[in-house]
Amino acid sequence: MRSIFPPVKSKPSFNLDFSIVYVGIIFLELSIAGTELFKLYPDKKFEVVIVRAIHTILLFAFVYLAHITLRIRERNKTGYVGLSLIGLSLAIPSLLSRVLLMENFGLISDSQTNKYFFEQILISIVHAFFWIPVAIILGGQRNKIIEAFREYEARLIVSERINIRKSDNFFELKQEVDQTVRGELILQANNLLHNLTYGDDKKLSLKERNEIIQRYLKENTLREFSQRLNQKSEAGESNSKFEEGMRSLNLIRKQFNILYNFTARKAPVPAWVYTLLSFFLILPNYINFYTALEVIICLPGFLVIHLVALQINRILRRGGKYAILQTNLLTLLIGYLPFIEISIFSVFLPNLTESFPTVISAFFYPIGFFVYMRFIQIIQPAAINAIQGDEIYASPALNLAILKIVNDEFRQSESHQWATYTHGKILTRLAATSLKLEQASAKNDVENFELGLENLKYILENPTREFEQNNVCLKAEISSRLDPWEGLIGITFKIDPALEDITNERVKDLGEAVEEIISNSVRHGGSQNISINITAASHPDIKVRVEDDATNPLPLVTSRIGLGTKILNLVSDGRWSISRNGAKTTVDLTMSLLESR
Amino acid sequence: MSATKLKVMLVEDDDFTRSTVKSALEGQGLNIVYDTAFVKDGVEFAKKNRPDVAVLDYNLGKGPNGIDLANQLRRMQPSIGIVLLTAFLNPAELDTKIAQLPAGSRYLVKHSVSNIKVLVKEIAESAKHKA
Repeated sequence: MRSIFPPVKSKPSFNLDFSIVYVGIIFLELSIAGTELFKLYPDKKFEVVIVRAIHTILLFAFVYLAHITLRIRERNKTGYVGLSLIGLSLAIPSLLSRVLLMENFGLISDSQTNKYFFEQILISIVHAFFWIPVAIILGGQRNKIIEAFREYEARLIVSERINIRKSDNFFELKQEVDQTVRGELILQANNLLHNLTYGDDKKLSLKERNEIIQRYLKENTLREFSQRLNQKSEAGESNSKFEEGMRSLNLIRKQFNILYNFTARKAPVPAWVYTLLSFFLILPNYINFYTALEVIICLPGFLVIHLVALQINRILRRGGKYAILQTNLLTLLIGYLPFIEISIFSVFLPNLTESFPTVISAFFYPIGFFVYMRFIQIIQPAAINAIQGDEIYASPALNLAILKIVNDEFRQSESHQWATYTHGKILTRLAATSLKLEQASAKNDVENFELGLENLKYILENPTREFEQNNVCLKAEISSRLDPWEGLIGITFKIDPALEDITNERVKDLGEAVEEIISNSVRHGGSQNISINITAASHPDIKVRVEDDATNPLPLVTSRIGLGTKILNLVSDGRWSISRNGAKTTVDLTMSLLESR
Repeated sequence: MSATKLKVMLVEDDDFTRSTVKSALEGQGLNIVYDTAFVKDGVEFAKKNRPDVAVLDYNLGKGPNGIDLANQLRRMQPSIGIVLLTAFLNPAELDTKIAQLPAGSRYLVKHSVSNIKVLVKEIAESAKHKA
């Protein structure tokens, strides 16, 4: 990523995006309104509010007009000169309208108008040549910056998911969930077995015995148990686009300190940025409140700022336990410079004509400057490059949020597997045995009745018997998921020969994921042909690509919520995506298959 | 048409359940022309022999489920009657995202199969479906 503000010599061209200019106008108007309300015109609050409101609307209109004019003339990009001209075309009408409004609402008198205009023109030039171009440049880079943070967020979540999945805590959770479900299934089955064993009386007629057993079978609680499991596997929250966006913002907020600490150490903001920003932030106040002599007296303050900023840089590059704390304090010190200056002046220069409003110099400005510098720190290209290349550890809040998601995904996936097993292997057989007993009873066939009863007991004595599966190699696992689809759809399966024989517990997880993708593609997409290709990626990852000819393409977002999504998230640690190209839908999934816990 | 005159195909992946249901249906005089645990075999048989009714288990293990198979059979043979057996109370609850059952299909909770006449009745009802 190139620098946000490339050198003039390189004749850069910037996208004309006015979105941040609108935000800047709001901040600017609030800032000026604050000064006017508390310092300049405390007796004319109503007039100030009206003037500021009308001026804000006018500025919005000027910006919108500029935007529309440029769009009509098909000017989407411009250089520094173009930006300055746009800045002037906005700043001058802004000043004129401001002066007129202030005059009309009695904030300045007729005789003061010219003087006020010429005083403010310097501030307007600062806006025209600095703040407006900066806002347009940042607006044009907005998408790149947001994209960089999204990538960072995705990478961070993947990294944290992997850490959580490989952690001892997660291993213990897996065991706990497995034992809980298994334990309840065994308990339910044993209860039924107990009832059948003690309820069955061989002295009774076959018809009477059958009635008793059928009653127990009908009243058994295994069905409710499997329903509960199924409900658990279906429970999930849906996320709208807005919620997804808020989640990202929330994540960045929670992650901000770690992000700042990392980028500040890796790529600290250059000292000149502190100095330049301080200059342009303070300049309007110097113009408004200080005489020329007082401004000259204050100028060495910028040298102090630069020296402090150099020290901040030095401390960050040197590192150390307290580097961030020290630089935070020094940044605050820079922010407090105007307040310190005023305090010194009030002692040594008792004739000082004006001063900054204390509420601004002692509170809003230092805090605002501190926050502003932290923001600048994380959006500068060097910092963004740094977060793209290195792992950053997650904050405790993020860890907790992802831990909850991963745990829920696991519980739901596990519940689904047990629910399917209980339906397919236990309840089905109980129903079939019930039928067998019914038939044998009707025919008074004691031998078949006893056989049916034995079968029933065999199922209930060890209900988890068939849930245990031996690990098979990758090729066999995937084939076992694809072969049953033969006859319904055409399937092409390719696998890197080096991966064919991999055998570990994650192979089954991949099988689940592949089955999920295929069944979704057929059921929701109406696919008739599917190809699956498994290739090696950088160790320990493999890549799985599934392409289909879905007539009803899946939504092209990766935030679909459902059990399928959760299975894919769990298997791939969130590294999967769907894309649509012509008549083809492609699912790409990356997973760590060769890792050891 | 009387249920006993229908050509019925049975697809159920569990051997014990399949043999039990098959024998119970045959005991009711039904003509079970084919039974299998595999989707592929069921599709191939239906292509060649055009049974009147397919009795399908919902849960067929790994791969397609009974609804996937039912949809495929209907595409191949629009007049085929479908009876879906499920261990669950309502297939829609089992998986809200599954494709809908083909029109005119019947589904039956397996537990009620213990009264085989219920299944026989459903088979006869499903055969009334017209393409």
